[in-house]
Amino acid sequence: MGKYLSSVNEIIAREVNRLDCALVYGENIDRGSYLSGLSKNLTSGPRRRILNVGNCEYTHCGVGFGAMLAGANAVLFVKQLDFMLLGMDHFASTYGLLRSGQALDRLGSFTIVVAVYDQGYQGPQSSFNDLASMCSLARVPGFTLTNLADAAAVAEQEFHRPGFRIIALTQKSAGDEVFVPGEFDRSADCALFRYSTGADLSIVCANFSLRNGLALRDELADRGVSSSLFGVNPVIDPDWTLLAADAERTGSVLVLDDSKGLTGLGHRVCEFVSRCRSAPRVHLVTRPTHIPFGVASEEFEAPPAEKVIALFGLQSASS
Amino acid sequence: MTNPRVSWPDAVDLLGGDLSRLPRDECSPTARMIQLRLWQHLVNELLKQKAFKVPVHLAFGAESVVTAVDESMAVDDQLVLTHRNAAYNMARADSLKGLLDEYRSLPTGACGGMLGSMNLALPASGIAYTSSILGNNFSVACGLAFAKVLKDEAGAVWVVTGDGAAEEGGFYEALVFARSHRLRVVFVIDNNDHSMVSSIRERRCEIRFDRMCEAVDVPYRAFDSNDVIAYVAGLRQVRHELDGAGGPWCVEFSTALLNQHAGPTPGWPTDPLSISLANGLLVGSAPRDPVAVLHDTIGGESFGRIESMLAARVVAGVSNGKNHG
Repeated sequence: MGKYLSSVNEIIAREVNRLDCALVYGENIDRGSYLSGLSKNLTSGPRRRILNVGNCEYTHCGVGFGAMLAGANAVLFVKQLDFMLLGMDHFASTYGLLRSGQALDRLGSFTIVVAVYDQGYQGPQSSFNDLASMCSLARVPGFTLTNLADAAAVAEQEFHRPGFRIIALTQKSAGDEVFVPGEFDRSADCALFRYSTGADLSIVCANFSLRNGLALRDELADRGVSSSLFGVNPVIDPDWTLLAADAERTGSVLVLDDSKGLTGLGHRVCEFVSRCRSAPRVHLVTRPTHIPFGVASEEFEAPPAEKVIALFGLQSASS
Repeated sequence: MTNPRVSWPDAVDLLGGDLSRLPRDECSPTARMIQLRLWQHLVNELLKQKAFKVPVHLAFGAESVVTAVDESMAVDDQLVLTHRNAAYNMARADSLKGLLDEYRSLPTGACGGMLGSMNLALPASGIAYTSSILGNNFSVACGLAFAKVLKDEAGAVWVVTGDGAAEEGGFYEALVFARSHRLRVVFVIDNNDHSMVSSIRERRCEIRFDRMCEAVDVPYRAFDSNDVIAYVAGLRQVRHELDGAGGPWCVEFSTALLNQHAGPTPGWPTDPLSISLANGLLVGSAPRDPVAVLHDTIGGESFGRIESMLAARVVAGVSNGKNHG
């Protein structure tokens, strides 16, 4: 076991270092703190350039799409997800055009690796954390890396695929011990990861709420309630069939979404579950609509186990 | 304005004629430029007839720039365009038919009718990317140029902008990025003093692109004669220097926008601008109209021979004797 950020960095660097004909770039990626460790362990090669670049995020995004259009591979490391709001034009318009004009397999790959500054210390700005909404606006795939299993699966697959995606890490877990799942299932598109299977409840974690889901699952287990635990990613046309089957079986789905968007990935999961044949009960837990715009705690709270048990009418060991 | 030497029939009648592009290796840049003007006329006449649902942004007045860029591109070069790309696509096309079908959103269009006008990039034409978002294309051009470095490929990337899009911050950012990494990019500013219907004076302070380039150590050259022969020579020199000392480069052309922002000209009954093929190929006087400049440069007789040759190719079912004045 290691720390979250360093462990995930090793996985990312391993895959990036396998890329041929690659432009690996970002601001201060090869010096200083290496973006707080995000961009450590990257190596150049005969046709792989590690490039420290100036401060022009909009252009960096366009450069990645241009390289991709030419069949090269581009990996842009970015310190904060907030900065990528400057790239929305390219995500939506540039990639929209490139996708319409030709088959994806004729393109190179372009991947943005970005940290989400969600510790709550940066001030009213620098706290954008809703990867799914960003991806939804542009209809591009995104992946939140929350543990060793999803990090490895996403990195091994996505860095080498044609087309564009955004891969996000959470800063608030940087120094935590990384979660290492035992056996797990996943969809081929990495839209869904299942870390445990239970009989009573399906817990679905969006954005970076997996650690909340893990804690809740264990609390519920202490009370005799067994839960399935899922992580979801904002992938286009996601394969969530594992979730559908689980929801049909448990009949109860709790969705956690710690993003600040008003209609984020959690809402999409609820809409998906509501269309399941047996109409499972579904409940969404998000942040309060009103978020204080100042330095504030970024803590996202899942409901306590007792409340969840009452909410779904579950049978706990003590009832 | 010089009197026309050919009485052109209705544009619809011309569509049945030979719409292939004059071969580059058999014809002079001047002849190709005159053909480009003719094709713009044809599209303008069709726009008047509301033949297309998509907006087409013509570039009467910029043919000298378009022709010079087209003629100066090396085999491995790529071209990155804006929404005002119609003239460039015409210049790089094998035939006008594919463009017309594309503007009609037909499956037989050059891009299957899927890209329309503002995003049109003809396949196998060297046009790599065309953006309808102002300022969006500079950085994509830099990415294309960087890929050439990674792959150790020859060629440069030409990225075209107007004076409006060059106001975007992306222009400055890309200039810095391209210079920082010595990318083989040619920034082509087509300064027609218009962003839609606003002149520069009406919308902003002056931007001295020469000083902007000097500030970031990018070679810059201005062109304002509207003489296609001089433009071709000048851009070929720029292209040659790019191969030698590396990039990037910035060139600025002073042009006149002789047509409406989009759609037909005239665009409405009292439109002060008026373009009609029935009045001949010229739409203005020298130096604003580059075709008029060319006419004055090569002389009316030479110009007339080219015009007659074009008419003979394109006029279908109409005798040349009847149409050539």
